[in-house]
Amino acid sequence: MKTGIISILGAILLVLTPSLPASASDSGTITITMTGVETIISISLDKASWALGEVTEDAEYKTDPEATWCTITNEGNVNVDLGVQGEHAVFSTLTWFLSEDGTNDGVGSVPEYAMWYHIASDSEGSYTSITLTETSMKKGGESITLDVAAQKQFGLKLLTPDSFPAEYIGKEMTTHITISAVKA
Amino acid sequence: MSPAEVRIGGLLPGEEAVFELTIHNHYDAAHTFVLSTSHPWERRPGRADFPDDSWISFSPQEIEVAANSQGTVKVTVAIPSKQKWADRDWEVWLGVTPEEKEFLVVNCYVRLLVSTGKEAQAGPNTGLIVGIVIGVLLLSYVVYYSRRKAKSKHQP
Repeated sequence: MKTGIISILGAILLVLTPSLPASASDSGTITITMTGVETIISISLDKASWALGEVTEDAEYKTDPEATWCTITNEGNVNVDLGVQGEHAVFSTLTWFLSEDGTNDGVGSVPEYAMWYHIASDSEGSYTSITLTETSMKKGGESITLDVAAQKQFGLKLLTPDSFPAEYIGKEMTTHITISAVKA
Repeated sequence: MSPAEVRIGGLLPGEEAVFELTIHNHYDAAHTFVLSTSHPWERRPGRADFPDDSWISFSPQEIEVAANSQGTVKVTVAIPSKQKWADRDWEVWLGVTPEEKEFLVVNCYVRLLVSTGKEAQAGPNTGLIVGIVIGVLLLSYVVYYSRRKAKSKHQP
């Protein structure tokens, strides 16, 4: 009988022993830190649209005023870094590709346009390309950080495709420029 | 949007973390906002790019927020149970954009900084299962042996 009890205890011990290391690994703690739960990230733009009307081939268009056309305001309570990103312009199935290098000579048979921004008080005529890749907004080659309640102004320049295929004539192409903010 | 930054630490592969984001609609009309992940144009020092956006989910993915009001979105970060994802430091951004876009669009990002723990979480507890099987076998043997012994004692 004694042997039986010892065997049962041994069996229970065997059951428990392998499970111990697994239980220890379950005790890891996850910490979620919401850095300042009350931090709010918010920017506003005082312009929403840029209606160019009818445009011609291979022509440059600038916002009016050139450098202070749109104001970005930091309405949150943390300093932010700014980013910018462009898109292809479209009308139904028609597309103007957004240039990656400032050229407008087309991609295959698809017309290509280019877009730039100019930050107010940057050196005159200094424009930076807007591409499909989101990049930080720069002034004088330096990334822009916008302090709380601070403002920054910019203007845009557009170069239309060097030629419009017949099916593009009279079509209203639409695009978007996204201005982004992230905690600095 | 708030908070501006979320740090998750000690998340073991195989585990998930859940937190909430608040979206403030300062406009005078209701707006639908779309949430998405994005890869940073610059990361915090020592942080690598987040390996797979499908590990992050939003509930809901789109949210309508009434004028001058706010809404809440639940974010879940689930790391697959593979040891190779242990002890990593990643950064990914969570973006909120209005569904209806004009020419100029505003996009706000929350910085999400995820650090995983050193040990991968065991999936099914294989140690426990093997232990139970061995225990049951031993117990059966003990019962069988005791009965056999008792039987042989009673036999003349």
